[in-house]
Amino acid sequence: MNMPDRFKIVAYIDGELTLEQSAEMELSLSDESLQGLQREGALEARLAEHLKGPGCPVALWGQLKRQMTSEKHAAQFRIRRFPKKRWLWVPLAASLAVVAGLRFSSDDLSFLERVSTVAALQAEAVLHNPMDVMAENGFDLTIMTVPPGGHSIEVLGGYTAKIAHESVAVVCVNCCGKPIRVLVARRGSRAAKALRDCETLQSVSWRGDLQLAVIAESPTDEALNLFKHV
Amino acid sequence: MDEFVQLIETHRHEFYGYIYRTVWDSQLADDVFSEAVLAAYQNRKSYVSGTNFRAWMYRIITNKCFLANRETARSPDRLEDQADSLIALQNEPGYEDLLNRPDEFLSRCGDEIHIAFKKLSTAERSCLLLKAVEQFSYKEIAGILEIPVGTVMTHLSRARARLRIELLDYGRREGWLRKPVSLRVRPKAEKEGSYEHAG
Repeated sequence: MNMPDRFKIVAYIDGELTLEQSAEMELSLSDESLQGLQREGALEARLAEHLKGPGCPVALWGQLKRQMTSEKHAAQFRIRRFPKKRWLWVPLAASLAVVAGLRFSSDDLSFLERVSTVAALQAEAVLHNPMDVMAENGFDLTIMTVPPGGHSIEVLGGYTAKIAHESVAVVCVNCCGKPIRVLVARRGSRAAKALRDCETLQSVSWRGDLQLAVIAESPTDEALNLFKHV
Repeated sequence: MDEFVQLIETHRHEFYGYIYRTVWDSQLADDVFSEAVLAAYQNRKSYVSGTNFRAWMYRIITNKCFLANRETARSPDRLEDQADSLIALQNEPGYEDLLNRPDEFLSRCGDEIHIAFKKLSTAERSCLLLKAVEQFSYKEIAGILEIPVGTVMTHLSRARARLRIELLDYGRREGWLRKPVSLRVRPKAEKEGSYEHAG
């Protein structure tokens, strides 16, 4: 690991150096210094003991275990929606752009594989103005299907929304007759993390600095709301 | 029992302890733990059996903790006029006492350790807990927090330095640790070339 020298000593205490790096460190230090590092390590271990938190309360764990293992509660989880806020309907504007502008081939690509062509689009523009980005790149909001042999995809619409106070792009599609929502968030953002924790998350992938998350089971009537942006 | 539930059960105490030390409120810890466990259970299909379950779980837990603490950034706090590394601490008066007799020193500090720890940012607390208590590697911590390894090391360095400085200051305030020595120069009009020992 390449690191500034001031971190190497701490990395040595933490056991993060390779054998060669550790040997080099030990050769470069006096016995007194090495003993000092050992004392640092001992102090760290003592502090860690004091920093350990309390154990999980018995009653809390019992309640959670019952919730997870109960079939009734499992059913509730399946129909619960994320996010709890209504505006968290999030199709993938980038996917919309890709799907809308696809040149169909006989390749049997999966839906998410097709979005790889969105890499050329700027993340900021996609997240803040998906419709304009699509227009600038020659895409139109349209309903298209993949020729036989591939996946049937109907694009329903796209717009922007907010998750965890951050912009996300939204595309709602029917993929082989199944309504799904695809969300685009900036990779590594809070919105991206919130989406990965989504209760109805089906799949997630990354393209460049974008994270694409497929959220399934979107009620089809809400898709009509997307057309207000057309 | 569901195999996944069993996995969580095996590690439930360490998960809860980590959450408690990160959010510092028992009621909030209960809520965050519940949210994290249920979110993990709902997303259990995304966990690949045989891979690092703890790291996978801590990623979810840490995200919940950050949301609970309402922090918007994971950048390190600026330490002005303070040591930001263990190396710089070597010159701090009383640090030798801390190194030579850690058990006695920390025993005297008591709850002050937790008070000092609470002053760290969420990112610093997370890094320190994941490294010192949970024994993850730098690379694993970087994956859990989704930050570069270098940032993990910076957080760790600052967290450790800040914690130690807080404890040293406490010892000085309580009077069982010698204070830093400073020299005050008398104005020239009072006495030519003389110094008064202060502190």
